[in-house]
Amino acid sequence: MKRYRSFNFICGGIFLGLTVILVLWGLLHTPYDPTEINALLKNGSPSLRHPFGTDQLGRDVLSRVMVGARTSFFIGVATILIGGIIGTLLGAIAGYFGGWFDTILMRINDCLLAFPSILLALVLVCVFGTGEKNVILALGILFIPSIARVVRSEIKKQLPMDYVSNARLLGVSEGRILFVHILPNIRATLLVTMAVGFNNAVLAEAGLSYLGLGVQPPKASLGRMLSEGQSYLGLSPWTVIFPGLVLVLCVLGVTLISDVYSGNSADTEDPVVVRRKIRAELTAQHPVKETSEASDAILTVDNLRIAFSNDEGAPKEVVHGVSFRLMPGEKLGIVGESGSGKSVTALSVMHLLPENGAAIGDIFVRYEDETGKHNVDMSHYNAKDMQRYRGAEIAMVFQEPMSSLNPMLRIESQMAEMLTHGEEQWEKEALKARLTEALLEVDLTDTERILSSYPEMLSGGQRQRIMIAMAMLNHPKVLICDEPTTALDAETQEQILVLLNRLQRKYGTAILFISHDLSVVERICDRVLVFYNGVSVEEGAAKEIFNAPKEAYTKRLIAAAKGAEHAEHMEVPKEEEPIVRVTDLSVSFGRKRKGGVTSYRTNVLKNYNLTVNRGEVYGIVGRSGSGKSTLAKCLCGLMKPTAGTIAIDGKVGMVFQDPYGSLNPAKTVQWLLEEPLRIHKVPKEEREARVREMLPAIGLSEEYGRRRVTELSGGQRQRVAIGIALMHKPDILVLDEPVSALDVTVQEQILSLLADLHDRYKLTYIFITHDREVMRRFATKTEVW
Amino acid sequence: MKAVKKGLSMLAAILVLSFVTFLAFEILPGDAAVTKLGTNATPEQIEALREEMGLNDPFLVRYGRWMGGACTGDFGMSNRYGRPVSELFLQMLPNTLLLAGLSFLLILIIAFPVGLLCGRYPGSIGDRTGVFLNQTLMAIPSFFLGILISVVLGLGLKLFTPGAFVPYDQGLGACLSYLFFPALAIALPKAAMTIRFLRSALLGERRKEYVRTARSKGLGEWEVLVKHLLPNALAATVTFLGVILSEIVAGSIVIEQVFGINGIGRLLVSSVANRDFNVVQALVLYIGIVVIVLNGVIESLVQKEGE
Repeated sequence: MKRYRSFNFICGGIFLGLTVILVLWGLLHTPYDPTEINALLKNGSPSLRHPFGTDQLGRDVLSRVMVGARTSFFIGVATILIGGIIGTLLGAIAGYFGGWFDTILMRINDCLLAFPSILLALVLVCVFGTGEKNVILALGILFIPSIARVVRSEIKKQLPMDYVSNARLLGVSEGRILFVHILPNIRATLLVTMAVGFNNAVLAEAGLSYLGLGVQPPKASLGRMLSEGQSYLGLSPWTVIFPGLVLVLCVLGVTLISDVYSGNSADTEDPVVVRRKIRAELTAQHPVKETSEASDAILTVDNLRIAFSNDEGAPKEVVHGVSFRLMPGEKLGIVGESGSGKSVTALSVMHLLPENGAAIGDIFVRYEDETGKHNVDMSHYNAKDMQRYRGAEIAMVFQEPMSSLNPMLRIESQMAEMLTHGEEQWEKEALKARLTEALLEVDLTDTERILSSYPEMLSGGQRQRIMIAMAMLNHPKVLICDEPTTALDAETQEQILVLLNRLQRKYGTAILFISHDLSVVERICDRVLVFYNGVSVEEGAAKEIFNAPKEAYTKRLIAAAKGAEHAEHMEVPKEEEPIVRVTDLSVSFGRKRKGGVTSYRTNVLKNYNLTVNRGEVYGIVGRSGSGKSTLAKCLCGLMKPTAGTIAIDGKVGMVFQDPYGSLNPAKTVQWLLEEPLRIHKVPKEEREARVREMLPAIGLSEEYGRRRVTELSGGQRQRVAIGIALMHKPDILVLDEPVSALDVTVQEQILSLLADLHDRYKLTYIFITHDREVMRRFATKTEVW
Repeated sequence: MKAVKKGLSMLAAILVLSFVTFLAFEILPGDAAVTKLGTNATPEQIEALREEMGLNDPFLVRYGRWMGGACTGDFGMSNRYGRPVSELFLQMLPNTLLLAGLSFLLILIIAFPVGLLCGRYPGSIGDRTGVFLNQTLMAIPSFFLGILISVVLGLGLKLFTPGAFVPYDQGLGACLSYLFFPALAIALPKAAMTIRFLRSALLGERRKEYVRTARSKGLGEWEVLVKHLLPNALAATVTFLGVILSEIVAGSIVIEQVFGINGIGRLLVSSVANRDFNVVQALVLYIGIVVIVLNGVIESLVQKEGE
C-alpha cells in the first residue's frame, strides 16, 4: 500500500479534492448568481465578499468558476463514459477476435490518431454546431480511437499467455474469457488511459470555449472566462488567473494520481540513496568483523553480505557473509539453485548489482604496478574507481548472449570499447587487426562480416563467443562467468566449455564460474563452493564434493540431479486398454490463399500415429520446434489438426510449461481452482468443499487458497496449475514440459507429486519434455522425436 | 521500392482525407448561395446563383472540380474576405511556419539536455523536481500559459508588447523576437512531454542486460548513457517527436489567437466562426497533408535506423 503514501498520490488527491469540492459546492449553492450583471462592481478586486473578485460586467468570479468547473467536469466525465465504453468494446472485439474487423478498425484509428485532436474537434464542431452537447459528442468520438487502441494492444499482449489457453481448455466461454479473465489484467492501463482522456477532454473543451467555439454564453465555462478576461488583463488579472488555476489544479490532480499507476511518478527512488541505506542497515546489523590479512589470492572476498531493498520496510538480505579466495590461474565454481545468491555474489565483485541492491564486506584484488604487488580493497570503491578495474583486471561473461549485447550497435564498436575507453590511443588499422585476432581466437573465422554485424544477425553461440572474445581482449587476471552456457543448446554448450578451458590455459586467467548445472561445473572447475540460501555450505575440490558430499544440502542437490526412479514405482495396469488413439495426424501452419495457390506452409506434424494405454506415463522427447507442443494442443482440442483423427476415451486436462504464464495473475488460488467448476454451474458449497480437498492433495495448506498467484513461488504455482487441471476429474493429463522452468530440487518435488497423483486418481499421463534424463526416470513408455 | 509503397499509401491517405473533408462540409446545413446573397434574396436569384456556382451538379462532379482546383492551388474565394483562398493562405503561412519551427527548435533545445540529465540521475532531488515541474507544465493548457507569459513577461517585465505582432514581411528580426514568446508557450508543455518520454525510455533501457555488459567493460556512466542507452531510446523518441510536431500545428491554432498572430490558425478559427467554408476546407486539407507527410517521413526515418 506504499502507493497511497507517495508524494504524488497525496498532492494529486489534494488538488483533485479541491476541485471536486468546488464543483459539488457549486451544485448545491453558489454565493451569487453567476450570470448576474452588476455595473457597480465592475472589475472589483478580490475581497471578503468576492474572494475571487468580480469581472468586467461585475459578475462574481468565484460563482462563475464554480459553474465553469462543473461544466468542465461534466464534459470530461461524459466524454470518457461515451468514448470509454464504445472504445473499450471496439478495442476488445478487435483485439480478441482479430480478422477484418480489426484491420479496418485499426486503419481508421491510425488515421484519426495522426491528426491533432483540436483540429478534428474544430471540424466536428463546425459540422455539428457549437454548444455543450455537441462538444461532448465531438470529444467523445475523438476519445474512442485512443482507448480502442490501448485496449486492443493490451488484449493482444494477454492472448498468447498460457492462462488464456488454460481457460479455453477448461471450456470457459469466449465472452467470459474476455471479460472475467483478461479484462481484470488490463484494468490499470485502462484507468490510466481514461485519466489521460479526461484531462484531454477538459483541456480541449477549455480550448474550444476559449476560441468561442465551445460552450456558449451565458453558460459559464473556464475557457470562455479566460478569453473574456484576457482583454482586461492589466485591469483585473484575477478574472483570468482564478479560472486558469482551477483548470490546472483539476488536470494536475488527475495526472499526479494516474502517474502513480503508470509508473511515471516523481517517486523514483535514487539508487545512490537506496544503496547507502542498505549498506547502513547491513553495517548496523553486522558489526565489522576483523578482516583476514592479505593473501596471495588474486581475488579475496571476505564477509560479503548482499541485500535488496524491499517495499515493506527493512532490506532483505540474500547473501549472508560469504568468504572465498580465488588463486591465480584457478578455476573456482559456485553452484546453487536460483535464489541461492551465487549470481549476485559474482555481480557484487564487479559492483554491478541491480540498482536496488548493495553489498558490504571486503573485496581485495591483487594488483601489480611500479611499486610492486599489493592488494587493493575495492569494497569501498564507487563506480568511478571501479572503471579502472572493470574490463582491464576483471572481465565478465553473462548468461544471456541474446540480451547482453547492445542491439543498436555494431559488434566492432562494442568490442572496440573494451580497448579504447581508457587513455589508450588506437590506430584504426591496429584496432581492427586486434579485434580480428581476438575473434579468430574464439573460432569465429568470418571476422569481416561479424565485426560489421548487429547482434540480432548472429546466433546465440556466436554471440557468446563474441562476449568471451570481448572479455579476454585485455587479458584480464580474473574472468567471471555467470551461467555462460545455460541459455545455449547442448552442442554449443560443449564447444563453449572447450573454448573457455583452452583460453584459460593459454593466458593463465583465473576463472570464477557460476552455474546451477552440476555436470558443467564438474567438468570445468578445480574447486567448488556450494551455495544454499545465501550461505556457502560446502567448499572443496570438485572431485571430492561430487563423489563424497558432506553436507545434507549438497547430498540432496546431487541426488536431485541424479533423480529418483519414479517410473519403477508407479502403478501401470497389466492389461493394455487403449485410451488415446491418434491416426494419421497432420498439422501445418501457414496462409492458404484462395484459388489453390499456397504462399507458404510448414508441416509441423505429418501422418503421426500414437496409441496410449490407460494408466501409462507416455513420454515424448524431442528438441524445441519439433512439434511436441502442437501435438499437446491438438490432444486437448486447443488446436484443430489439418488432417487425421484423435479418439480419446475420457476427459483431458493439461499442465503448461511456464507456471508464471499459465495462471491468471489477477486472481486468487481459490478463485482459480473454483473456475472449472463455476463454469459448470456447480453450487458454491460444493465448489469450496472440492477446493478444500484439492489443496492438501497438491501439497498446499488451506491458507494458500486466499493467496494471489503473484505471491507464490514457481513450484507452488505449478502445484496450483496441476490442481486446476485435476478439478474436473480428468482421466488423462497432458503435461507439456511441466518441470522445465523449475530448479532441480523443486523439479524433483513436482515429479514426486505427479507420481503420487497418478496412483491416487488412476491417471494416464502424456508427458512431453526435451529433457531425456527426466524422461528416463519418469515415463513408463518413451518415444523419441 | 519501400519508398514508393510509402508514398502511395500517403497519397491514398491524402485522397481519403480530401474526400472526407469535402463530404463533411457537404452535409452541413446551410446553402452557400443563400449565405452569399443574404436572406432577402428571391428563390429565383438563389437558383440562378446555385446554377452559376455549380451547386446543382452531382456530388462527385463537384468533388472532382474541387480536387482539380486544389491541385492547381485554386480553392475558390473566401466569402468573408472576398479574396482567393490561396492568396490568404500564402500570406498567413510563413508566420505559422516560423512559429512552428521556432517552437520545435525550443522543444529540442529544452528536452534533450534535461531528459538526459534526468536519465543520468534518476531519483535525485533534481530529477524529482524535474518530474514534478513536468507534470505541472503538462497540466497547464497552452493558451493559459500564453496568457501567463503575456502577463508576466509582457506586461510585467516589459520584454515584449502583447498584441503588437510584426508579420514576417515587415521585418524578420522583429517578427522572430516577438514569436519567441508564443513559441515558448507552445514549447514548454510539449518539451515537458518529450522530457517525460525520453526519461522513461532511458530508464526502461537502463534495466536491460546490455547496460550491465557496457558497465563491465569499464565505461563511465555518461558514456553508458550516451553511447548505449540513447541510441536505443532514440527510435521511440523520434516517433514521439512526430506526434509532437503535429501537436505543434494544433497548438499554434490557439496560441495565434492568444498573441494576435496573423497565421493559419487564426484564419481557421475566424473562418469556422464565420462559416467561411471554402477557407476551412482548404485549411483542413493543408494541415492534414502536412501531418500525413510528417508522420510518413518520420516513420521511414525510424525504420531506417532500426535496420
